Amino acid sequence: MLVLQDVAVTYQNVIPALRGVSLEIPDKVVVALLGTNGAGKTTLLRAISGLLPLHRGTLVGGHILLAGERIDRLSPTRIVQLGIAQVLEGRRLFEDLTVDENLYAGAITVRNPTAIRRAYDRVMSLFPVLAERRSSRAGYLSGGEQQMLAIGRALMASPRLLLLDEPSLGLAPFMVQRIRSIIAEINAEGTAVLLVEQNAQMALSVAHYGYVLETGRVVLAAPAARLLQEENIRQFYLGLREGERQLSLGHLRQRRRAGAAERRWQS
Amino acid sequence: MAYFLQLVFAGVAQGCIYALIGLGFSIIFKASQVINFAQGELLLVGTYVVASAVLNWHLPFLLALPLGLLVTILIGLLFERLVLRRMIGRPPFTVLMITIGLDIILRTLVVVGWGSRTIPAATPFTVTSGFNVAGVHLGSSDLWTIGVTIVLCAALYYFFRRTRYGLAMRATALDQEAALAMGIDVRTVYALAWGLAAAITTLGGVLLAIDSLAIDPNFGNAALVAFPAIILGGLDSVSGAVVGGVIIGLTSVLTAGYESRLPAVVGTGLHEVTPYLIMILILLIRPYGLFGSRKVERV
Repeated sequence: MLVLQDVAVTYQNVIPALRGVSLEIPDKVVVALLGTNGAGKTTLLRAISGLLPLHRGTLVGGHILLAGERIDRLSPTRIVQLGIAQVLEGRRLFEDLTVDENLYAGAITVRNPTAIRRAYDRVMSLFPVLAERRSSRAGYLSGGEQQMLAIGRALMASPRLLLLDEPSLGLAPFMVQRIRSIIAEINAEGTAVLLVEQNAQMALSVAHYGYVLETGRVVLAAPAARLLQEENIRQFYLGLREGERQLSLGHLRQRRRAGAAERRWQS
Repeated sequence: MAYFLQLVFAGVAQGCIYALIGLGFSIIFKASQVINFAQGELLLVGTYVVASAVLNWHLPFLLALPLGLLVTILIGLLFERLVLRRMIGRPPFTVLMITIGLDIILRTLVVVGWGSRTIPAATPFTVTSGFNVAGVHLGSSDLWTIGVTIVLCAALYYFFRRTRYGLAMRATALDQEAALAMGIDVRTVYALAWGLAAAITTLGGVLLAIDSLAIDPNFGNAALVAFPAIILGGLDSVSGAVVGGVIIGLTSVLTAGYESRLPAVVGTGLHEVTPYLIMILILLIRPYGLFGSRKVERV
């Protein structure tokens, strides 16, 4: 459904953030996007949702296609209308507004009142906690409730594709598990999800497919189950081996290049 | 007692004018974190258009007023289109400096277009119109000022609380990027804020001109008088602008009414100082104003 072809982004015309990323999110699939700080994960989401100009970033190469149509020159409003909704990192609720107002702000692009009603009911059944706190200020909710409200707000636009930026950030372990099952539930209802996470364990356990981003490039792409088994991922993101803290995935790329070179020599 | 009530009535009416002018400031500040220093000049252009529509083109006041509002709304929208749109995501300070530039341009245009002479203001009332209740004279223009302010505040309250665009404006004010991510068209929000603020401020200016009977190219400084009102109420609070306006209006009119009884040392200009004294006093106690939120950015 969503295809990124060789997407390159620079900030303020000089600082490269993405250097030719290709990625695909098929219909109704959860894709995890892993990577360290500064790898370009958030930039990739901004490129999709049209928020780059706000950060003085520009798409300098490649295209982004939604169902075959280019969306990389459209306004954020248009992109939301086409069915892509984003949950920003750090939740970013409208803290002085009530829970209900936050949700209706998420449906601002929707003109049809019955569609809004339906989305609202869906959010309420997905997050019964929010139903109890409809008219309290968003800023007074707990961290977990705030993350649910942030996701609910994005769902109010009834997206085909949900972009989630670090939904587990700063949450207690049981809440991380709760978020995980919510993602699975949203996906089960037919919404595709692009999940950006530092918590690789959680991300890969819910995703079908995973990409690893490093300094603006995709260094690894594989089904999530396989990434979970991959030795380097285990060491680097899951910390499943002691010692050797500063391990870079860079050598993965080298290994692959070496592999290609080997093949060249063999043929 | 009648004298006191007379002063209170006049003070509330005066305060409503400050409130209207102040509303213009706070709507723009809320939407874009920018203090619009061209506010006074928007008001100036508006009152000049209304005055010359009545005096030179002999339009009825009720036609001239919407014409004046229309002109300032268009200036606001044009400014959004040509300048603000390119400034989304830039520091508010940049935009603030640009509004100072706009202020100078508009003032110059007024002098070029109308000259620097004082001209009579347009008014639908005669000075003595109105009626008396218990020895207090309720002037028509003051009654209308108070009435218009109340209706407008109710309409604004409805707009911000109950409509899509009102919600979009409040959301944008709180978090621009999150609003964009929701698909809220921030450019429309800015245009709306500037159009609305221009119209409300101009309305305040026209009412003020009715009170002061004449206008000249310095009339825009009137907006500065509204400044203590919005600082007092809290820069980012719409209801604060109204309460602040009324407090400042009452203070200034009551001191003006009683200052002749004070010792001669104090002089007769005290009423021009008291609004600022009140402002400083309240800021010492609540630095973010009566209704303002604590996070207001200092520029």
